[in-house]
Amino acid sequence: MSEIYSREYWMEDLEVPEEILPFLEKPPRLLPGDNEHDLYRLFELMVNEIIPDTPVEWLVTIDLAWLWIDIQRYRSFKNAIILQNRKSAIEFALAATDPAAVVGMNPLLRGKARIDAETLRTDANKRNELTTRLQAHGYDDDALNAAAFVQGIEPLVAIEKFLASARHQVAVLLRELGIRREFARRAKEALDRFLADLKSKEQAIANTPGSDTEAGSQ
Amino acid sequence: MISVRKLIANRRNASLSTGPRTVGGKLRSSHNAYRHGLATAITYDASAAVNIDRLVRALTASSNDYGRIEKARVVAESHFDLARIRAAKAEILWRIGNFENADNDDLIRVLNTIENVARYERRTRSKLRRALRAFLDA
Repeated sequence: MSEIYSREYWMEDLEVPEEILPFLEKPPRLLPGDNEHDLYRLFELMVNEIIPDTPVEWLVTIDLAWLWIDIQRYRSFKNAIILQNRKSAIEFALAATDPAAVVGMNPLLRGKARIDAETLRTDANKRNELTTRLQAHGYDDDALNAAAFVQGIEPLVAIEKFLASARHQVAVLLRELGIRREFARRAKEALDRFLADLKSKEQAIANTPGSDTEAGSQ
Repeated sequence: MISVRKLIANRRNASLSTGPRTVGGKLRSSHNAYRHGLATAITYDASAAVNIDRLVRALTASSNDYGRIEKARVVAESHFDLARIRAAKAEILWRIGNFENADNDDLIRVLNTIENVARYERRTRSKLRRALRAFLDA
């Protein structure tokens, strides 16, 4: 057996056509959280599931796998945006509810709010005190989430657009592949039926007495 | 109206700065407007061009039908174009490093850059869809 995810592996074990190899051979740029084996495993699963048998189907299969990877990456990106905005929403709420705050907000309070936010995240003992303070001013989990979403609405809308576009592409490709497969299956069945019909007619003619002379006279 | 002396001086000075003259300088300045390279046709990439030719032959099963070959070429080029766009997107995302530790401004900047690249992707995908349909229906 050849080395996993090598050229030989793709060609011999998974029977990937040589013309398709350039799409698999070049190692993809890995992002934090990505794992090369996971990415290739996805290709493997896709190939085993779809069982492509024409170059077009191979191309579509690889495109589908990449679209799924894109969707995964966009999701991580979206989570990062939500986390980031939630962090700054908490900082804002802590600064606004700080007992030392008199009028407006000054840079010192911002710095203190940042430390408080970190304490809220890491220090279990002080968490209750800070949560109570926030809740006393109406900042519960829902309010903080809402504030985070409002703050990050612009990037979130953009990332949602990318996600929707990638999902739409997956749907289009699957539909296309399904239609073609269905067409190919129906075409093959029709051809098989036609050939079987032709064969039985030929047999019937061959079994008819004097068929040779009849066929010859026609 | 400027004086004749000034006009001559202007012309003399302008002739001193008419752009790069050496081959190296011309080569460098030819990359001045280079941003991501996605607007350049994929066929200008020599290694991609070889792979495209091979893929076209596989798609057409060495047919001599010119129309079919042309449609297959668009399909093959679009797929290599998509691979290039994917690589560019991954490069942009990679630059930001760990998503969780990224600054909000950095995230927005990256999203704007991805949007620029996504324009090319949408264009390529719609070209591919049309070409694929025409190729399979032919």
